[in-house]
Amino acid sequence: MLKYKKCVNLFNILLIEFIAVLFVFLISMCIGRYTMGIGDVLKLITFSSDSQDYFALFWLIRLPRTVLVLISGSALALAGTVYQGVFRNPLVSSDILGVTSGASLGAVLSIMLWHNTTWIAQLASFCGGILAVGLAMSLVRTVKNNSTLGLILAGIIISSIASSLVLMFKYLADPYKQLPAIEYWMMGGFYNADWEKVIGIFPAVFLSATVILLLRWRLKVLTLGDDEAMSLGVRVKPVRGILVIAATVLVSAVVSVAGMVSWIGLVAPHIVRMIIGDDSSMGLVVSWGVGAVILLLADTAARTMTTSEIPISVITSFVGAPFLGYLMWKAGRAQ
Amino acid sequence: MNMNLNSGKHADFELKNLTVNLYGRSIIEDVSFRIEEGKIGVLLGSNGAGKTSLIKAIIGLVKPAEGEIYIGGLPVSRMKRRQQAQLISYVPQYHLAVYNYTVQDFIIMGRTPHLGIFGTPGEKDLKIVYEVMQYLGIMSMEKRSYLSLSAGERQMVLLARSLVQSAQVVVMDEPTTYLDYQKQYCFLDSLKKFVEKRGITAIISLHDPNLALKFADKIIMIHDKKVLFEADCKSGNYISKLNANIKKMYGEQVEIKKLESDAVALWK
Repeated sequence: MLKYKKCVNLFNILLIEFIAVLFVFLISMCIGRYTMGIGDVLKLITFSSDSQDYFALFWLIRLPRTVLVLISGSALALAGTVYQGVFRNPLVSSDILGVTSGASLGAVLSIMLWHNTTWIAQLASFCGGILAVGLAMSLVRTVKNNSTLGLILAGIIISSIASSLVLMFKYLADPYKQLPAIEYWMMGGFYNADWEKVIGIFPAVFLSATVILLLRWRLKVLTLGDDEAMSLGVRVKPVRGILVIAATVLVSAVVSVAGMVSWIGLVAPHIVRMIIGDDSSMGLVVSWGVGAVILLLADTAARTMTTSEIPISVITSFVGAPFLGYLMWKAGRAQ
Repeated sequence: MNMNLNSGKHADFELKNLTVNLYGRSIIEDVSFRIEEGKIGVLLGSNGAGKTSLIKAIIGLVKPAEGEIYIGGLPVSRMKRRQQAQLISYVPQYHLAVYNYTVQDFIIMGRTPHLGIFGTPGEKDLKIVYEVMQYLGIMSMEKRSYLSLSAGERQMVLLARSLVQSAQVVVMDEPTTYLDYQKQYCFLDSLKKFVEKRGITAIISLHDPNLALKFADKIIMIHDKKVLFEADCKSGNYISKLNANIKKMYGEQVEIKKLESDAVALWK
């Protein structure tokens, strides 16, 4: 009876998550313009296939894309869980806060000035993202009694500023070289994924995710509110600062390789809550897998549903926005 | 019960000449008082007298401009946040829940000051949670969610969270405000028993002079940012002294009378 039951559950949950990720991964590897059988995929992974075409398709196109999607999905879900915890509001995500817009502003700037190198784009979008989240944090304080209202207003303000600046940059951009690159990138998607991009974002994502997962208990205590967290021995400002910076690194890494991928950061933590209930610290552990699975499903759909590719945000928004509506409806009924 | 809770003789609480400023204005001026181990000190005062500010200064949310807070003779105001939290725990007036944690999850967060920066609670912490829950008689709530609890139950859960913190001093800001008549008594009664048994010290701010008279070992009247009067409820003539001062605070209509063994405050 005295067992802290979560410890036992945690292992099972991680196992189920791993199996789910593997399952979706294999499906995603098989389908596409050239369909491969599961046997072919297994042969390719173990280097025992002799088909040159399949080899290139698998190792240079499909696998890097799938890996990039898995990394991005987990990053967005983790970041979403952190923002929802730190801002003490389950309706917050990087999109609503304006972090995604800020990060894309940075990335657009880097495309214009230095072409699109993963490292520079990442750094530039991080600068944009952290500026946006800093602005959001200071704006929220001005609306004392209604934090949701404050956050949404802050998001509207920041997104508007960012998109007006993006428009200005597009207007100033070279219409033959830069404008198409910006336009193409803004649509978002993983169509030009390669190993360079995977290697480019992996260190930042891995480091931030590790920091966030290590601080998961502190994040949970922060959701009690500043005064109570402080009285429980948490140094609120530095811990919150580290968590927000780490989450913004995650979002800007994804933005720098895939443009705006909306809704995953909002939806994934809610799916986690439906599975394990409200628990911000355990939620972090579970959310990366959920994010990876839903983004991979969305990306697989994006590249296989029609003969040409659909931008991934079309799919994530089309599913994510009604999902938010459903959450509001459910919350309204609960009251 | 062989608990891992504090049982030493280090829970004497003392404020020496505490002055606190906030936004350039003084909110507490030169406050000194002392509460001994195993006793309940009640801060009594009208709205805006500075009770909440004093509580915030004691739990370290605001750093004092002058003076010092001592627990067991040790100055605490310059200690690290985590060390402070090992010595002082806090029960807010009301907890605004955003996420719906289970009662067990909620209470175990009280163990945070005893965990490392990357730590999560383990079975040892859960054992302490169960012991406190059993003591307070709230074991049956364990799996329920915080938002499904009534106001009285929520306050008991907050009390449990502060007790598993194993701190020497428990500080509470008007913990009975949202409780009904009976729950107020139950809450303070559980606290009093715990405080006496474990030899910890409690500092509670209250609005109701009758609750103060019933449960306090010491009543400290806060008026206009200062200590107006301090009464030891064991001394013989404390009622007449209280009477003189409570009139300064609430006006002439209020009077404290002895009724059998207890004293009560009446509105004439």
